[in-house]
Amino acid sequence: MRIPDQLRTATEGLKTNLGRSFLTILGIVIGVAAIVLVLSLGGAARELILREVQGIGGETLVVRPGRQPEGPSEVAQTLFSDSLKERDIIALRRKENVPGARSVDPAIFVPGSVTYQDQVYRPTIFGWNAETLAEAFDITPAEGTFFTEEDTRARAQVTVIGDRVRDELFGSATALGETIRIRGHAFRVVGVLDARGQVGFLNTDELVLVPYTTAQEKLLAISYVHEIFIRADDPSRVEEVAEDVRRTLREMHGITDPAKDDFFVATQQDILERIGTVTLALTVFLAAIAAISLVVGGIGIMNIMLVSVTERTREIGLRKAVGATNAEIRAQFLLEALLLTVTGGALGTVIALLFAALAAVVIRQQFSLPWSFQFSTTGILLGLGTAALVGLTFGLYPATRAARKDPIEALRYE
Amino acid sequence: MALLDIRNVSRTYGEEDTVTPALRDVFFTVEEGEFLAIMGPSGSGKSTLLHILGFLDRPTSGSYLFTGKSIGDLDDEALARLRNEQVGFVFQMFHLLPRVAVLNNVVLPLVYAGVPAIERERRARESLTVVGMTHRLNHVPSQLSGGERQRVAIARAIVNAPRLILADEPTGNLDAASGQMVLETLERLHAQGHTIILVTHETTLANHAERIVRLHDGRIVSDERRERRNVHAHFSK
Ligand SMILES: Nc1ncnc2c1ncn2[C@@H]1O[C@H](COP(=O)(O)OP(=O)(O)OP(=O)(O)O)[C@@H](O)[C@H]1O
Ligand SMILES: [Mg+2]
Repeated sequence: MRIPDQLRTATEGLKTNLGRSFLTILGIVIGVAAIVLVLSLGGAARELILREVQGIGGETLVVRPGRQPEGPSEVAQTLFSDSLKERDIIALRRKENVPGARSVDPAIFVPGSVTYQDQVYRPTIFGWNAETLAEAFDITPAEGTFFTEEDTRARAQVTVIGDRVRDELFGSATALGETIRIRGHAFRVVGVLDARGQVGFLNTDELVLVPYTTAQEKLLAISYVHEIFIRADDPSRVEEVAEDVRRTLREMHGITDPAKDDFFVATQQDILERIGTVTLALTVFLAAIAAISLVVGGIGIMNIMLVSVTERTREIGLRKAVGATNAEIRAQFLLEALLLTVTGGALGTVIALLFAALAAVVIRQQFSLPWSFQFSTTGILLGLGTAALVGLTFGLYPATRAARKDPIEALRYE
Repeated sequence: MALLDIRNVSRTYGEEDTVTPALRDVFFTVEEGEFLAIMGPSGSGKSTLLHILGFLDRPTSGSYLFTGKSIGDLDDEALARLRNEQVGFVFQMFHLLPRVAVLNNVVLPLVYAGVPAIERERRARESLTVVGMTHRLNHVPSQLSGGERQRVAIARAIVNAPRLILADEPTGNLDAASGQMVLETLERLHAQGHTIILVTHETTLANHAERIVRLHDGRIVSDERRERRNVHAHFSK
């Protein structure tokens, strides 16, 4: 039997029960749509997150105290670890130690809120070198200036605030030159940042920046730093810089065994890879849950194919009597199941495509995120592929039952 | 060499305590070009014998030589090919595919023979001409009378130019006039050289055959050759 004839035979078989066939494939339509949609949205989300993170700049490295955190509790531990000190920063800033570093800046995270008169706001308070931050995140003060190195040396109580912070505390009044209170200490506002919104993990509009020395001594009374923020001369030197940083810090901390490091260096590449892995795992997990509905759809297909094989027993007998082999009968019914599920898969893919496009529009408008509509050929192939797989898996048993029928008994079937 | 040669063939149904012998130790040969009628009371094994001759069933014991070659060691696929190429079946119940047009019903054996579509259609029209059904090509079986359905079924049986045409009570569901027409068609095919084996209850039909084999309780009880009647003179007006 020729292949076009096999296809034609299968389509004719389906046509005789079009309404029923359509109802049967709904399960497949929904299952495939769910899988393809989850993969599409997951891909778009990952792309969005990665693009945001990349906003920080590829030349960035971050040194944190403690070990590389493997879970949330270990992340918390790094905040209380005091292994990174002022002298580490001085050592890292030496050209002979880390020749590829353009800047080395400590960062202090200050919990708490700020007040101005009777206005209270909870921003993100950082003790940081404002200029490095500005360069890395590409923001400049819209009004005033950054605090200077002199301010840092002098532990001056000056601050640069984000656009949103200004709005919350001052409304339309002038902020520059006013005094706000951070954890109760008076700070003079010397600059207000450009509205820049989310950059990477950071909403720059919610920042309150103070000299890190001031943050250490006045606000937290600590002598260590939470993080060291390093920028390489060039993104291509990041690995080299990371190695130099590790060597220098091990020397400073008297560590010979890298396994005993009391700090770790994260490059942007590390971060991207971690995020990529986590979001991919999440996407695959969700898709796997969606795949369960395909199993249900597949059982529906099997059921309807078994009914069809029984109803068409005499047809099977006749086909065998005029020369159909068992393999040809099996192929006919398997092909019918396959056509059903692949049609369902195609429909489901189209539906997923429409929903993904709709979601992209809604997310862009409602959340003003640079969300992209993602529809890769991989998604389409995966949708059709899983549908075909379901057809073959759940069509095989009914088709084999059809093929095994004894021709005479089949012809006699009432 | 005989076209069909069955030796010592038995066919039993069921197992152990419910064993039903349908055929017992049957010896039987048919030459190419014969027109043979098989008669016998209900349950005597006529259909069983016909199914074995047409490769739809296998004997429980004994051997079956088709054109001198034993089919005992052929697998199911080889039997399917033999059915496809060498045999045309005509059933009492017609067994046309419902909801499928006459022309597409007739081409079915050629589909399984792998004949290209255009050639298939040409041959199907030819067979439909033989049975006088060219005016109903696009009708579906439910739109045809019983006699017309059986003629379509005969067209399907001859479309692959089989050596052997096996008809199991082809007129059983037809009135006398339709039955005559079907019989006339079979006789014409016989005149063209086809080997025809006809199972029937009716003596009047069997009388058109050259040879009548009678079965009783699974055994051949008589096998008589008869003077061939000139049916064409009889039927044509
Ligand atoms: N599948 C089967 N299982 C059990 N017994 C069967 C089966 N098919 C046929 N038989 C038995 O075999 C015997 C012969 O049956 P067969 O159909 O060949 O008779 P027949 O001569 O064609 O009868 P009829 O004229 O009624 O069609 C009968 O006794 C029948 O009951
Ligand atoms: Mg019978």
